Amino acid sequence: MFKKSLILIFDVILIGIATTLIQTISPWFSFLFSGLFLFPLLRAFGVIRDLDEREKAIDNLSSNIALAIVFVLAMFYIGMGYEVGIDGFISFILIPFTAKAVFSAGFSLSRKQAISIIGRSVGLIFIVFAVLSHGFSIITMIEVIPGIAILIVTELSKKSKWFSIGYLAFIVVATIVYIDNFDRVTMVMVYSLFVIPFSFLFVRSLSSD
Amino acid sequence: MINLKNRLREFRFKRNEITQEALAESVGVSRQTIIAIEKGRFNPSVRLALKIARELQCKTEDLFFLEEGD
Repeated sequence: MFKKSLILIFDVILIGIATTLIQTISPWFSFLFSGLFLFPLLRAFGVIRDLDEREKAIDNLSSNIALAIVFVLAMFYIGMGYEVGIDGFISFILIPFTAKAVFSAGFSLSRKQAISIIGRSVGLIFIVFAVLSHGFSIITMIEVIPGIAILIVTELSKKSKWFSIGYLAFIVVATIVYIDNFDRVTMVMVYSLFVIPFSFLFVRSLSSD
Repeated sequence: MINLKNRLREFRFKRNEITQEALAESVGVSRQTIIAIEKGRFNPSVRLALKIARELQCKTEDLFFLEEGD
């Protein structure tokens, strides 16, 4: 049986490799993205275990939520009068993909598992992004602090609901930092990519199992 | 409002204390789905309800029943 987390890791690696090859070698590598349909097709043809009825219901629900987010995002872009360049198109790939992954994993797993997987992923992405941007330097040491804070809140909120307030704090801080920079699509994209998982984590960690 | 209730946990223990994992495996669903059904957070299809009842060697109507709620 293929675990969902392994499929998610496969999808993320595929997106990373495809994006790099498109930028460095040829746009024809865009067709590598069709690899995202590999596991759904294997399920459809009975090669790997199909989702059970509850998982299918969650899959549908998370797809509908992702679609609703894209709709709101598109309306916001139109309203703000953005010139949707490459960043805009990337946001229409990354944001629904993130939303789908967060809501799908979050609804189908237990409270602790959902907090672990989503919280650790966001925290590690923060840390890896800081290290890749600046290498091993003082700036990196400062920029990894939010990532470490996310990992700490994740571990604490698994033990007690009260620590979920930490996620709310991250949302408030992100809003204060980004709200005045919404003149660019990139800022809206980065803000959405962090606020979507944090909002979900905040609500999920408050709920019981 | 009429709610769907179940005695899944009770029947699991009557049936040699079969674990959620083992029951999930035998009826072809995930353990989380069995947990969700037990806690009343997910209503199974007729097909799944029949499969669970067969696995626990009981009648479906003994396992799942309707109860008048608030």
